[in-house]
Amino acid sequence: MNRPRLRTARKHWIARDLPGVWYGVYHRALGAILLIAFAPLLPHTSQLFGVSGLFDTALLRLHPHGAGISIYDVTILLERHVGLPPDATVYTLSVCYLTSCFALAVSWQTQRAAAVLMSLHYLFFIAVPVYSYGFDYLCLSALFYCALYHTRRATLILRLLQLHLCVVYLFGGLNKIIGSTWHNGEALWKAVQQPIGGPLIHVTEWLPLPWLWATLGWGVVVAELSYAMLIWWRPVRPWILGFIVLMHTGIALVLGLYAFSALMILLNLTAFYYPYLNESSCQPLAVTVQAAVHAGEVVHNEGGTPKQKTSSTTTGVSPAKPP
Amino acid sequence: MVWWKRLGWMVIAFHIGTALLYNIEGFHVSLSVVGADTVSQSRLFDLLGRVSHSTPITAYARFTGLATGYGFYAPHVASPYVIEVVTYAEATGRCDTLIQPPWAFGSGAVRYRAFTSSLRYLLPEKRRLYDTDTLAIRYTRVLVRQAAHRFVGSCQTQPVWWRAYALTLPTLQAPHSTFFTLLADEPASFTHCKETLDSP
Repeated sequence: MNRPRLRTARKHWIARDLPGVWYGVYHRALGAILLIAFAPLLPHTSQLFGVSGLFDTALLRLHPHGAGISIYDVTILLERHVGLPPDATVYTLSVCYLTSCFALAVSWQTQRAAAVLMSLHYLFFIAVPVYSYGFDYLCLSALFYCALYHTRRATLILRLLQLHLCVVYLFGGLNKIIGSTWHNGEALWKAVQQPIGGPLIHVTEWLPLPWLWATLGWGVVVAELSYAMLIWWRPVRPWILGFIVLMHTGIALVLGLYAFSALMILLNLTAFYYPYLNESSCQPLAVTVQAAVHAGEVVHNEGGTPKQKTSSTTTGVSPAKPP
Repeated sequence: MVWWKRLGWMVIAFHIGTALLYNIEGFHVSLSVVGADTVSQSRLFDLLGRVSHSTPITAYARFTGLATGYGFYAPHVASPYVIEVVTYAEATGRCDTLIQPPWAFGSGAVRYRAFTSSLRYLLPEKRRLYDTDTLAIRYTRVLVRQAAHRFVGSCQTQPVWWRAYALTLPTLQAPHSTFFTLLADEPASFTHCKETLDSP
């Protein structure tokens, strides 16, 4: 690629100012999802993480895949040095977790709340991964982007999120396409037979149709594999996004993985829907950049509605009269 | 290019590179599960594995949630694992069979399921899809035994017997075949209900 082309690509990719409206939706919904996912566990936190739980805390601290400070380390430390009962520590930290979710959802000290939540989520679920699943890792990444956000690096964070999603679906698709059970529908059939979190729809009783599951299996594989490429192509983007949102809605309703599905839908909409919301009615990029240079001012919008209906929230130039 | 833009590019490259590292490693594991011949590439995968397990990258990846592969339900969908505990209530003289702790519903069920998925380490060697070190096997056995003994939260009810098994679900080709692979089958310390259990 020659230098002017590279410069244009860089301008389009990093220097381009996409409306910050995505961040407002992102952190509020992320806070709400985490709150809804954790709140039902609150009455049982002592059984999950305390001394009256399924496992000895001392045993959990020896977990072969554990790393870093866990909730079990904190409870033992506070009991030994401060005399705080382990269950009290667990409840206190759980309340802190929920408070941080609430703070994130109502936009109060957003970045700090995200950073605290990230640490607490790590403490509870990742340091000793006995109760963790895919949702927890994606959650931590989502919180990381949230904590890192600043109006100056809004586009950088958005690009990170977009590329991260491409990696998620690309490898999701690659891992599926090599499995023969995804080709003949057995994988999906097996998945729907073992719902996890109380699904709303039970499909196993009335849909044992091999051709249907094979078609759906191939649909998932093709959509995930093509996501990384086609999501950048504007005419196809709504279709890919629509299919992915539909797929995650299906996962929620049929498998009962509500929190995971809600998180994935949020990440998709944040990365590829909200930033391009007004794109169809905006000026071409070249004109927008030119307008910004003319006006000498670019406003980064943190979570609010853009002042004008443009893709870059450039002010000082009337959208009706491009220079 | 100004320094902060250069830094921005480096941050993107490092972050996405870390995610790629862990996923390439995960993909290698998936390839070995499906039995693909990856001997020629294994040196490259070993190198990538070593890089991804170097301390700074591991620490960064764990704290940012990147230390995982995104092969959800792939290359094959795992079987469900069940821990079954027979309990005896001294006050009522009643025996019950529990298959999950009382908090395992809704969000709790998803968390409990995440734990039971680790029972794959206890599968017989022939049915094991992943390389499993003996420490993981022994640790999981202890963990499962402890969970079974603590299933019943109250002191009025005692565990009598417990077993763990993998459930192989019916397939589209064989819709009526379900079978179990026993992973553990042991008495608990309390044995009031032994006769009931042994009877057919």
